[in-house]
Amino acid sequence: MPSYAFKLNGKNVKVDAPADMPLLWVLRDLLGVTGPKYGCGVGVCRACTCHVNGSAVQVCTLTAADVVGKSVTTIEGLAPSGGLHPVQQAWLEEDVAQCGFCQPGQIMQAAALLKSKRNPSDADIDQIMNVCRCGTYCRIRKAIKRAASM
Amino acid sequence: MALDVGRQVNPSGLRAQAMGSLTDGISTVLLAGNHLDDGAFREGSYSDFKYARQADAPLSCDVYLVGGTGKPGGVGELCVPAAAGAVANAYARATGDKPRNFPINF
Repeated sequence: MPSYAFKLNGKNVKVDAPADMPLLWVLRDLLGVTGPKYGCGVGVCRACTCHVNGSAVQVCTLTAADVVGKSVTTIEGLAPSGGLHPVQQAWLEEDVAQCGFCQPGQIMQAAALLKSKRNPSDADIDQIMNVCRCGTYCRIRKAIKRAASM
Repeated sequence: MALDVGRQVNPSGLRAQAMGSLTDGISTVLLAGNHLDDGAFREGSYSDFKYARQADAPLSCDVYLVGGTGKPGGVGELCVPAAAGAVANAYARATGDKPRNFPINF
C-alpha cells in the first residue's frame, strides 16, 4: 500500500492508504479526524469541505496523493489552540446549527470566504453552495456577517 | 412566520425549525423533486436533487412565537405545508399561472 506524507492541522503525518481511497476516508477512517462529513461523495453537497493550502476544497473528490507535501486543515485545526475561530464564535452566538451535520463544511467554507473577502456582500455569500438540509440558511448568513464584524 | 406551539421549551430551536420549514417550502414547490425511471430514481445526489442553497433562501426570516402556556406541542416540520402554500400562491400571483404539479421547475 502506498504511503503519503502531508501536513494535517499543523502536524506532519504519514499514512498508508489505498491509492484510490478518497481523502475524506483517509482523514476519517485512517487518521481518525471526523470533522469533515460524508454527504454525497461527488463534491456537490460540500459537507466535507476542508482547506488545502488555505483554499476550500471538497476532500471527497481528492486522494491522499493530491495533498502530498501540502497543508490540510480540517475544522479540528481551524481555531488557534485553546480558542475559537471568529466564525465558530459567531456560529455559537447565532445558534446556527440544527442537526449540525453540514456545519463543519459550512464553517470551513465561510472561513475561506472571509479570508479572501473581509466584508463579504450578500452576493458573495450567495456563492456558497454548501447544502444545509435543515434549511437554516438565514442564520448561516447572519453568522458570516457577525464573524466579519469581529 | 408566526407559531403558537404551546409552551416554548427551546425558542431558538423553534425559530430554526420555522426557518427550515420555509426553505423546505421553497424547495419542494420550486425545485426539489425526484423522477422515477423504470423503478429507479434518476436523481442520484445533491447535484440533480435541487434542494435550496444559500442563494435560494430569503436574506432574512422573522419568526414570531405566540402563546406559551400549557403543554409543549410538536414543531418538527410544522410550517412546511404553510410555507409550501405561501410559495405556490406567490408564484401564482406573480405569474398568473396556477401550478397543479410540483415542483414547478422540474
